[in-house]
Amino acid sequence: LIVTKEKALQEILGFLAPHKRILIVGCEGCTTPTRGLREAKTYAMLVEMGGKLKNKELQCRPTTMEKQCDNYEAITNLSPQIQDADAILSLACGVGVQTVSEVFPNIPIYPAQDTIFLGSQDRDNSTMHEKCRACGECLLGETGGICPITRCAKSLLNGPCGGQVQGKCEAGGWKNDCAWILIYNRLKERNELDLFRKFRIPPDYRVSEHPRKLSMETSPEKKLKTETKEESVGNEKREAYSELMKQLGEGRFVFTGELEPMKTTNLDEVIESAKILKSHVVAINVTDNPTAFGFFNGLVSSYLVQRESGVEAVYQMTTRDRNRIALLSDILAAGTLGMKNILAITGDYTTVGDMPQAKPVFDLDSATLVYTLRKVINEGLDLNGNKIENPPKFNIGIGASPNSDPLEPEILKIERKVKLGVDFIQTQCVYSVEQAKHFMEAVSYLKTPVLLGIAPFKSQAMMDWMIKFVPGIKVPQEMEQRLRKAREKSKEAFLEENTEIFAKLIHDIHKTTNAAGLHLMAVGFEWILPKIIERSGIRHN
Amino acid sequence: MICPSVCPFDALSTEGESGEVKLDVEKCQVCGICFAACPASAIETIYYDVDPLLSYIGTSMREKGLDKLVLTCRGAGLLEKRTAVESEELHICDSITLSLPCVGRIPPELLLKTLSRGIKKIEILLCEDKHCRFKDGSAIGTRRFLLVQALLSQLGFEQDAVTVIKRSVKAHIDAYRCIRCGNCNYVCAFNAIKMKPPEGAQVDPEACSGCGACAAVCPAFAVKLNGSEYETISHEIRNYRSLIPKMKLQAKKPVILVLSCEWSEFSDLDSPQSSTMENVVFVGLPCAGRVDTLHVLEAFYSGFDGVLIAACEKDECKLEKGNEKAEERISSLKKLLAEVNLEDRLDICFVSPKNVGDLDERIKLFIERINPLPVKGAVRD
Repeated sequence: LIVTKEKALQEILGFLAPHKRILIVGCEGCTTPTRGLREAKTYAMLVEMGGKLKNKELQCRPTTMEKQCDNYEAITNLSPQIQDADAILSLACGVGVQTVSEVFPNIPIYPAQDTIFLGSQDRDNSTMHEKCRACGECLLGETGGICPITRCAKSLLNGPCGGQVQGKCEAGGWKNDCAWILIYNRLKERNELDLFRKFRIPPDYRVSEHPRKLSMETSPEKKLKTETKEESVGNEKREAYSELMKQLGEGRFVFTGELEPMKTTNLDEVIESAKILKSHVVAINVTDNPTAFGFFNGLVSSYLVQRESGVEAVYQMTTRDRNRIALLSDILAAGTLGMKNILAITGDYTTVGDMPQAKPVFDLDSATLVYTLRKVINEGLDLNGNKIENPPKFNIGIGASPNSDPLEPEILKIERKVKLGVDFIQTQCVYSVEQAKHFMEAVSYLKTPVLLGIAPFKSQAMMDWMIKFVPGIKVPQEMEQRLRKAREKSKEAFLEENTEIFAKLIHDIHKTTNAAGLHLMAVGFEWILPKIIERSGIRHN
Repeated sequence: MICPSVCPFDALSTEGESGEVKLDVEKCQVCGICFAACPASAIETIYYDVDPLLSYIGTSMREKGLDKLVLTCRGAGLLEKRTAVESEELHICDSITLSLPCVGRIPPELLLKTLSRGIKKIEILLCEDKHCRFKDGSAIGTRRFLLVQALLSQLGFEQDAVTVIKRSVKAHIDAYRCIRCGNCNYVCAFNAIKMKPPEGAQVDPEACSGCGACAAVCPAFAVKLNGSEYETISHEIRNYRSLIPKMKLQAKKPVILVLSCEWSEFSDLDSPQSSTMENVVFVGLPCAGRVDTLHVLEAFYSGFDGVLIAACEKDECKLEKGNEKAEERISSLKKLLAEVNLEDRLDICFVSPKNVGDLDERIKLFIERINPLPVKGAVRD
């Protein structure tokens, strides 16, 4: 069904103001809610009454037809009725309005509603749900009859992303179901998880190049779309290009840090923080417009961090804002600027950021970005197989979410990427040894180094915010209470307690799990990290 | 103790050793079945009492010179004014017609008295037992009339002096108009409509109770419902277009339309249009679920100053949540009407015939409320 939403009467009256005799045409085809003769009559009366309020005499004639989008039907049906009309108000979708307009180019036609999507009707809740985006390449046979193109906000082909908590999506405020969790549940029920494991190469957007046209005489050409790579997990020998990878290869327990360039042209603070961390971490991640906020460029700051502080950067690349052309361009630049690590992530959805009106790109997702990087690094080719002169070399990292609930689809998704060739994994923050163990056991079969995320709290307000607004974060009650108690004494006591708690936590994780290292996030109070590391007694080098 | 045993709503009970009968007003639906059953005429009713009915019949006999009486149940679908076609089918053109909320309330005494006053033939139309709006009214009435028939034949009356016909209003779908949208299928609370290709919606007459909820949501006006289809009611409303200016002048008050569920108000002689309310036009509906937003719009378009919907009180819908359906529809229509400054001129009230005068009071209040509203917004001058 084509779902439409009525325009405000005032807008319609605005359209019709210069006219006098108006033919109001219902459409009994697929427009939903149905806009047949009943609605045509309703509009006829409302428009006349509304016109009267503005001292305007409008004469409306309601009529209806089967399908306004059929040009032949439009001619035969409307021709006899249209003579004395000087405007048409159409109750059809945008397709019907345009078809009638092509048939009667000399008569102004106005839409009475906005066409919003192709969807289905949930009668019991009186709601309409978008179900198809007419992408041109139907995936439903592989996804358990649930369309990820339509029902995943990012239209991911290799979901779910990290913006999923307990099956709900970060886009739209945790109300909508995560399409990929729906797909996972259905495929699991049917015992078809192999379909879930499958990696799908980036879509060919030429099939949906506007305006599309289909000749009724020739049948569309068929081609096989998805590429399955038969590779065993984790057997690939990893080449180390970066210091991070070298140390991981030597089996050393490593720390990485994280820096966040903000909405400023001044990177002094970021570089200062890098210098503080320098002797404690092997590499530092530099974020790429985190939580979809428009910040200073990640590649340039990665470069400056490396140049000014001498610490190796992990350049984070999200696929949210750049299509495959821009991404490749930045990959090449990153090579020239001396980047050694790239963390391939999808990126938070645009609407959670500070410019929520932005057009979300998501041409690639994190998996297809890994795929792209592999092609560049290993074969010296871009996605389409075009040769790259002097191809760059990087080690590729991916993100993971140990807080994911359910965990299995997250693990399967990591597996999907590991098969493509991933060098290391950095995770979102964990707050308990149990959680760390649980996750490490689940990913151990992938034989890929994992750096578990650790994020101490800068303040009680930040802790409250994290607990309240960062879904999926599980802070143990005991930890929370200890910190609250300390905060009652003083701010200093709070930070001291933080140091104590997190030193113990990383010590225990180091002792009891096979994590390859820790990813420490303390944006804005990096000075605390050396203290925590020292107190934990873990020797970095 | 007959009355407690016939009450379909368990509103009557005997109390203590004296066996005094108590009425639970909350449960009573004013069907009048007890009134007709009481051998001692000990139950009083303000609606359709024997004497006013007799005098009405007597007057009609004298004035029109008719000797045939047709008693119908409201549910049997003979809403006056809309019955031209139906009356021909049933050969009741030359009859005194009298419709009552339930024929279960007619005592045998009334039939005997009318026959003794010169009526030659009595035809009684009642709802199918299954679709009686008062559960057992139709079945109890039928038994009672068959007894009267037997008694009459013993007394030497003609065989067809009293005839009983059972019929209930059913929805029919005009397959030619149906656009197969499925709205009726969804709205039907009786599971009486199925969507079947290629004809479209099909009504199961056994299950259909004739509430008309389907007619109210059909975008193509494909539902036929004897007397209550879109066109008939629409025609009735539009007919007032030329009368309203005169009515306004005479009454010096706003002229309003009351779309009333025929179970939410009873009047003494089934003509709610009493002389005290010359500015109020009543249009009866088989159920508030039949309230059609288009009819409301047409009323404003035709010049009515206000439209009041009268629906049954909560939990008292004789059909299936017709009052709630009406309320939903009215509240969404109000949003549309706000765009033409008419939203204050539409309201819905929930009334019950057991609260005598309740509807009149609501109408009065409604008129008082809309009276001072600015004229701009009310349409046709």
